[in-house]
Amino acid sequence: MEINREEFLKTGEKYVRSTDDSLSGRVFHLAMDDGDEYELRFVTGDIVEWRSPGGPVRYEKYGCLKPDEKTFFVASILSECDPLVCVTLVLDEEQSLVTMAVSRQGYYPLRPRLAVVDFRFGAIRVPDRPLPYKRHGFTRDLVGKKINWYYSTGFINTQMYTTERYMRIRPLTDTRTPEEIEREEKEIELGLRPRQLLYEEPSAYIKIKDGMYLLSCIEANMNRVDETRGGNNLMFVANFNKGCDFGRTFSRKGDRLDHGFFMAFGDPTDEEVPLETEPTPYRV
Amino acid sequence: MKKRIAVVGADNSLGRRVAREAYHRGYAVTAVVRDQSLLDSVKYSVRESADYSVEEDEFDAVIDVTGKVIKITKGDMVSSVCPAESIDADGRRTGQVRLSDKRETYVSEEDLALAVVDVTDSDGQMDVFAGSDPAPDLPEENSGRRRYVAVSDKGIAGKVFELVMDSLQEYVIRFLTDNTMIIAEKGKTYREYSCDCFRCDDDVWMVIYMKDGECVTLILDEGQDLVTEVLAELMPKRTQLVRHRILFGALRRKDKELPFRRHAFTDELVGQKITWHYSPYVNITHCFYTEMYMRNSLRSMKPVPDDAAPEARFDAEDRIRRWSNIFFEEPAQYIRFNPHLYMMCMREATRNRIDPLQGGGDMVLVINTRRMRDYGRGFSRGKGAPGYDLVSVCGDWDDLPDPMDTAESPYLV
Repeated sequence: MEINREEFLKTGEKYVRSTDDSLSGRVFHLAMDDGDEYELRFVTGDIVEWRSPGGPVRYEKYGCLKPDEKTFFVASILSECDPLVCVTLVLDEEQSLVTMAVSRQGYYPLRPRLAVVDFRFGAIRVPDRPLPYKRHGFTRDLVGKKINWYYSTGFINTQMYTTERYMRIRPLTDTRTPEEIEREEKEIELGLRPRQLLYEEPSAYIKIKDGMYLLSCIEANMNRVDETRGGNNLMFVANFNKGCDFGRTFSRKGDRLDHGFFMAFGDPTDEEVPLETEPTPYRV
Repeated sequence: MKKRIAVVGADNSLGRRVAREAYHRGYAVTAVVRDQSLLDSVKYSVRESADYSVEEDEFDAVIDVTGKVIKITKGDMVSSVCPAESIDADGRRTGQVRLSDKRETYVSEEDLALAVVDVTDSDGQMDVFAGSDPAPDLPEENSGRRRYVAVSDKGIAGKVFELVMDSLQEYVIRFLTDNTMIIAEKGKTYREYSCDCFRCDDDVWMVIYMKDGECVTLILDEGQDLVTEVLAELMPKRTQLVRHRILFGALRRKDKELPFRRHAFTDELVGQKITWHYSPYVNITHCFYTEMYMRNSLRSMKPVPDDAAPEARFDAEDRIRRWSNIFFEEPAQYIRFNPHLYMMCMREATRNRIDPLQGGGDMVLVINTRRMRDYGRGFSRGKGAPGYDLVSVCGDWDDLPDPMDTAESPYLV
């Protein structure tokens, strides 16, 4: 279903209200390059059955967004997992390929907010057809590009894909309340909270097909500077042909997990942004 | 913007080396030559001039290597480098060139080129003599047929390091000997391990050890008080396939604050190639294709000498037959330690995907571009238990075009 940009930007909610249920009833057989095999049976629009040879059958809640008619962005927080695990899949029916991102919170016990992510590539088995030879993979296509992303909350930021490994973000709006801003400034003044440095975080860009990419960013530097903040793993598929992205958050708000699906409209920009060329404070 | 530099006489042996060194340190190089066909790189602008004339105002620096003394002009400031009495055109690069006020007896041409670019890099005016020691002979093992043979360096015995990783876990490592260490996480008991160490730079150590079936590589950077850990483990299903986890951190020093900056991933090597000379018969070119992949090829194999043993000849010819028309493209990560020291962590995942019985192992190499030498290990399941082999070989920048520089990936959409 096409989403009207003007209407969407008026909604003012952080997460999209409804995810896509068109996977309901579908079955996918995944052959991962590290040797793992999975059968995914989407029982309903929000329950998926996971099977792997010799492994237990799992039923997990999931959400799905559709970056295009043949591509599904699926995310699922696995139940009863410690550390907390979020599995994100890009199911690419057009090319019979799959990318799986396994994100964990609490992998490093002393930095419980910090997510780590592993990417795994593979193919979707199709009866009577050999597995495809090529794979999704990391890409340099986005390096040097800048996009202004407009979220439905009225939140706007510029993402700068400065290298294949690091992303910089400039917020153009501040979603904090005046009280929150005042409190934070006071805490910084009193030395209770360090001042945040420039937003540069480790990232990954994976090419799904021409014009479509999976992007991932972990707020690791933010969390290193202030262990009560950041650590979030933001992940989304950007469809530059449509000028929008579809993603999910995997972060903490206090002691609570913050996981939901979002969408944003994006416009490439050539505007000169000083942050883009500022020397990094984090790396030698 | 890159600084512009002209190398006058870049068509002679020393000039070629100076131009190459300057280019790989980030200068935009213009080679001023009489005969363009004598250049060994396509990375520079070229000006042909019968009398080597050049407009100095066009450049930030002009290096003239046509005389006995090398002249470096930067605006109104002229510096000079006087080589040692004996210039060894075949001598290996040591990276340890001396700049002094007395004429030296020996310098290799490779190290002389380093000295010239060092003086060009410096801010002040200098008139210096350049000298170096002859490079030691390669260990016997490195000149043989086997690829992964090296001996670890001495000198780490007695050192103690306190590691504060970015996971906030803290460790203490004590080196009892050059090949034995004990390590303890804060508040826990020490465990002893056998280890191998390379001194990759004057103050950077690479330490390798096996821990519960995993291969741990530590870069202990005493110069910047930083540490990088690479943990390599084998996958449960594809049991030959290695996976990496990389963690950064700092070294705690008495009465010093922990540094804020870290070693980190880099794009500085992207687009460059180094040919590594593993043995007289095996040369492998690494093409640092992107920040996430490397390509390698065995195309630049040296000719097999006439007196080579039949077994060596067969091995070399067989490799060329099998490899001559292909390159591999494997996932890789590149980390920068300082302006001439990098690490590449590569794993043979593509080879292993195509044939589960092939590849899967990894190479973790520290690349010292000043010494043009690498230090590292390959980790794999091998025929028995998982283990690593040390490797440390010399290399050369490869600035000539190769199909793998630009070929479309056969493995990725």
